[in-house]
Amino acid sequence: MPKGDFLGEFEIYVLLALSQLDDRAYGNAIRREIEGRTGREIAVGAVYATLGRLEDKGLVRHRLSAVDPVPGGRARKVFRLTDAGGRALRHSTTMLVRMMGLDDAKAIR
Amino acid sequence: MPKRSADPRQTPVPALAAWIAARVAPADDRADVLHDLEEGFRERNETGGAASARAWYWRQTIRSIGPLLGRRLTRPGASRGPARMGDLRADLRYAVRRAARTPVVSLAVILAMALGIGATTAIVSVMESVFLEALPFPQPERLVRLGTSMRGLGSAPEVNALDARDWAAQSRTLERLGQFDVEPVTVRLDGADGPVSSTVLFGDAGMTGVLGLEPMLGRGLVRSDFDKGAVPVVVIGQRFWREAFGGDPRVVGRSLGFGAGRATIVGVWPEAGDRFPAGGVDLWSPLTYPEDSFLNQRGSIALGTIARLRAGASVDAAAAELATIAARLAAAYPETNTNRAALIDPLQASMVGPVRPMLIVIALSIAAVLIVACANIANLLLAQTCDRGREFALRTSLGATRGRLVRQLLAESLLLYVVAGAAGIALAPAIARALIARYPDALPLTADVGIDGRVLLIAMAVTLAAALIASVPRLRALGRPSLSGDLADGARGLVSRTQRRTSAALVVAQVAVSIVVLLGAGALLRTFLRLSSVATGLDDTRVVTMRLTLPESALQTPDRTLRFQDAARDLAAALPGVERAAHAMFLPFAAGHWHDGYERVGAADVRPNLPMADFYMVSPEFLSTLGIAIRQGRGLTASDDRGAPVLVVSETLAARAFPGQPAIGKQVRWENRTWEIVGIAADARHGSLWDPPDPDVYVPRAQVIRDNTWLVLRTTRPAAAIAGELRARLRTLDSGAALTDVRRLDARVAESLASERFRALLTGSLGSLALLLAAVGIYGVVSYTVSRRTREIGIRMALGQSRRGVVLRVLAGIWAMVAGGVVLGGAVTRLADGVIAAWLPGLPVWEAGTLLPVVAVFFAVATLAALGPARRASRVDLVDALRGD
Repeated sequence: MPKGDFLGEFEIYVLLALSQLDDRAYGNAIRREIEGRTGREIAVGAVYATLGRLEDKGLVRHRLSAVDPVPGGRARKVFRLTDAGGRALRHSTTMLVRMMGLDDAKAIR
Repeated sequence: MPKRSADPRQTPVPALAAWIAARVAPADDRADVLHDLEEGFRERNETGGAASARAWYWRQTIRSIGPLLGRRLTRPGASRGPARMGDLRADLRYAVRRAARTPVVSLAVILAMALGIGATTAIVSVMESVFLEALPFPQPERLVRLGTSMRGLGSAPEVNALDARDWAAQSRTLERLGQFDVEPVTVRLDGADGPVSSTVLFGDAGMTGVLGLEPMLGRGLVRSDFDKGAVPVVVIGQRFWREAFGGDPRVVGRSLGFGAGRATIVGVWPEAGDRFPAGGVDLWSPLTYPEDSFLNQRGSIALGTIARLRAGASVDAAAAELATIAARLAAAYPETNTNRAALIDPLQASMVGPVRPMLIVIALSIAAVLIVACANIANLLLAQTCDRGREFALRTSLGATRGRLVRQLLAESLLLYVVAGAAGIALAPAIARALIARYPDALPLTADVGIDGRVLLIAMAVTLAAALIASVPRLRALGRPSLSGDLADGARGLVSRTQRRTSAALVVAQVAVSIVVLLGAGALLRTFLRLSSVATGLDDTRVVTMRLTLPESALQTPDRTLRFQDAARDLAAALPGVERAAHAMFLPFAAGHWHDGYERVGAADVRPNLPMADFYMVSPEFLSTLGIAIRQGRGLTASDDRGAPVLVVSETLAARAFPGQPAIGKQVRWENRTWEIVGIAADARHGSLWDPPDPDVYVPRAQVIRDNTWLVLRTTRPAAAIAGELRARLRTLDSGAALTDVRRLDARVAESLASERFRALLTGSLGSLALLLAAVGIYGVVSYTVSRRTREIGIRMALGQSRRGVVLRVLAGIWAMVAGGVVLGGAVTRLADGVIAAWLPGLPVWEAGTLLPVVAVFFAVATLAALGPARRASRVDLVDALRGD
């Protein structure tokens, strides 16, 4: 990740949600993950806009899923973290932890 | 579109919200966003009921608008929104593929546009530089050239000295007036090998003031230079200064041999000095002449005259005023001035010829060429659209928006336009250079011809407009409601009636406009040819002419001068391949003449009102060498050199001076002697092919000896070879003799038409361009439309028509279009002829001689274009033809 290019709060949420979801990271799954943990309603559009931005930065990548086995079923975007995304996420969380005055060992359990 | 659930039992998502979400989402996220919204909606519908689900859907949609729109605007390479470079690239790529699929049409469009832009720009730029560029003098628009018209006798670009003095004194519109005479003078430079011939402008005291010339070095001519007994002075021109003195700034104060005497160099003109008169002169010297000179007779019209208008005075006002002054002079001097009127022209126009008629012709031609080019472009693109309906219908049904297709069409036009524009810009300087290479030296020309940016812009704008206008019918086709109809039409390969009609109308228009342009260009060309074929009265085809500069030794006495001239002539006559040789003081179509008045013995001819003639001091062989026939009496012989003075006069002089009487045996007084006319020679033109022959007098050279010498040789050998041999022989006589200005006589005659020839070249180029463009356009359109009729032709053959019949049928349609254009163009020309005649007298535009070849070319091109595809189509297997492309 380029120096000085900080991740936004919501971007960190999305990346964190992705890191929890492994291969199941559809847009809706990400939204539910964040909603479940933050207790806030998250807009679908905000999730896709953020994913698009992160993809432009090379932090996430998507592939198309297998077509749903139902009539009218279609391929959907499945997102995952890239290596750069993992590094950026670690970097941002480390910085947050340090700024909060906690030590790394405690933060990254 | 919002995705509705396939299950009718389920509550539908809010349609408006779904529509909004679909509008704001980027294209590649749209499906996922809608899917996620619908999934969330269904979950809530099951758990919390329809109302809650709808509320959630709306909330989600509204809160998504910001992020999604923001995403679309900031995203690099977004498919919608301001940054569409990705799409444009795709459009252009597709346009290139399309253009490559119909190479003939694409190349024709590009060629038409490139020529339309390049050639018109080049031609207009050249014209501007040559004919419209202002002369490099202060307020050049106030400079005028004056001349004299003599009722019934034509006109002269000169003015009588006394008339000029009266005009200057009485006029309120003329601020200053100057008179001049250009003559060749032999100049000897100290330390140089031999004498050189130079052209000298003898100007009166008013000349430099009229032009506003300020010397670059030293001084110009001043009043005291014109006083009797003043030291002879010269001011040298910029070109002569560089060539003869290497641009030496210390040249002022030095002297040079000037004619038979010497003159002091008092100044050097700036470059502007070389721009007047046309072609420039080497030196300026004061114009002085004795009181009893022929120049001081009212009858003589011999001095070039220019004037500067007072600030605010127009040429028309000056012309009106000069007309009243001329009328006053006619009353005062009825003998000489009765039929005399003043001519006035802007100096610029007088140097390059009348500009206005040519401008009109050129402007019309340029407009017409651009119209042809644009009609071409429109027609070709339109023809190409004929089979696009199916493609567009297909693309629309696959989800392409109308805007998307419009962009595609514009991209296609843009692609062709960019390529053609680049080619045009590259072509323009090359064409301009090619034209300038043919530019005659005899005309004034500024240092370099630049491409006129404004003209280039106009040409490009017009062409762009044509390309865009050509897209309009195609865009309208996109709005048609019936996709299935288009799909079916396309499948059958049919061309819609409207398209076919439009296309035919454009072909007709193109042919018509080209016919008009070509007839106009042909008229100019004919004017030129007619002048070229005017009989000069001289047999100029095998005549070589050259100036002989006499050595110092030959200038001591008249006797020695004549002896050297005769010796040089004899050397020339003895050269192998030379039939005949003569020498003369002046030469037809070369610088200098001796215009003089004479008295008829027995008539009441009194100074200053004398009849005028051009006097040619010639050796006895002159008339036979130039092929001027003797009509009555005898020619000059060697025995006339001594003894009683005799003359030969031209038919015009004989008829004018002695109407109804035999001229032979009559006596005239000239140069203080009485001469007897012994022969009448055929008329010969000596300077201008425009004007009728002047009255001429041929005088035995030995009787009036002058050092100015031209040699005239009748030979079939090349001029350069003859001159080289003669130079070597002359050196045995005296190393101080020089031969310069070696030219064939016919070349001199041709040069007098330089301006006309150049105009003919320019307008001829435009005419050829129009023909070429029209031919290219007709070829492209015809070959394309015929190739689209493969299926129709197949069906006709299947229905039993013969191959020949089918091909003929196609050709007949094409011929009808061309014939329509010819008839329309011819009709327009016939109607316009009267209008044009008002501007361009003597230019009948309508002429079968021009029309027929042009019509033949159009028919040939159209037939060729149609024949190939038509015959190919007639050979195609019926099944193939019906299956489609």
